[in-house]
Amino acid sequence: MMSRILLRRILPLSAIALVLAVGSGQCCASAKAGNVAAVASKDTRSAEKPAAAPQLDMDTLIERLKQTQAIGVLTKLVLRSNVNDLIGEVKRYKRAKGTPTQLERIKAHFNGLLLKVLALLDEDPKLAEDIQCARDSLWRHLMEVKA
Amino acid sequence: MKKMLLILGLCLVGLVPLTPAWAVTSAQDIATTIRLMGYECGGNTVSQVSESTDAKGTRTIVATCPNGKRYRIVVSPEGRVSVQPAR
Repeated sequence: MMSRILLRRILPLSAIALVLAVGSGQCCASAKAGNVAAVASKDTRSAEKPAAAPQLDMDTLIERLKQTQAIGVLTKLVLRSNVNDLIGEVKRYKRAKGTPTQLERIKAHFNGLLLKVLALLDEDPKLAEDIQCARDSLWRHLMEVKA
Repeated sequence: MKKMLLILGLCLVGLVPLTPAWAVTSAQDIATTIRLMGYECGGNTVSQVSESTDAKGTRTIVATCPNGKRYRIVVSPEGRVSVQPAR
């Protein structure tokens, strides 16, 4: 009797919780197509405007990175500082109209930072995969920073 | 009885998505920060953690790594993190 009540009452609630937990992650089946599809599934209007899609996807990724529990608060602060340093580097490069060698150095820093994030996301492989998929978009996004 | 089961169910719903088994602990977070800043720690977690915050909002954490080295982690009010070996 007790187990039947438990099954009837708790299982459906737990199932909803699990669906919510799983559903909060987005799929990135194939590199760029997956990113656009993930955005399109959230907002059908953005599918009509492909130019706006990467921006929305970036915000979603950043939000997911903020929310993930695979990285602790202190580590997130360190990563944020690293990102801010990288943005500062890009701004300086743009202001000084830097050389291709400087751009290569920025790209190396970007790759290093991305590698750190991916290594830290060992326990959240879905997010790691999506960030890996959005690698080019992230680089483009960084290069769009105004001096 | 029904009320109790409902409360238990709601607790389960609340706990499942909030605390995944793989969520990092504070000690693991501190160890990762130390390693990320380029210092050796000798493991994934720290012990003997002491924490204080001054009047300006600067947070200072002192922790011991598995290799016996002690580090001071300073978090500025702006959110900048720095790590120094402690004596």
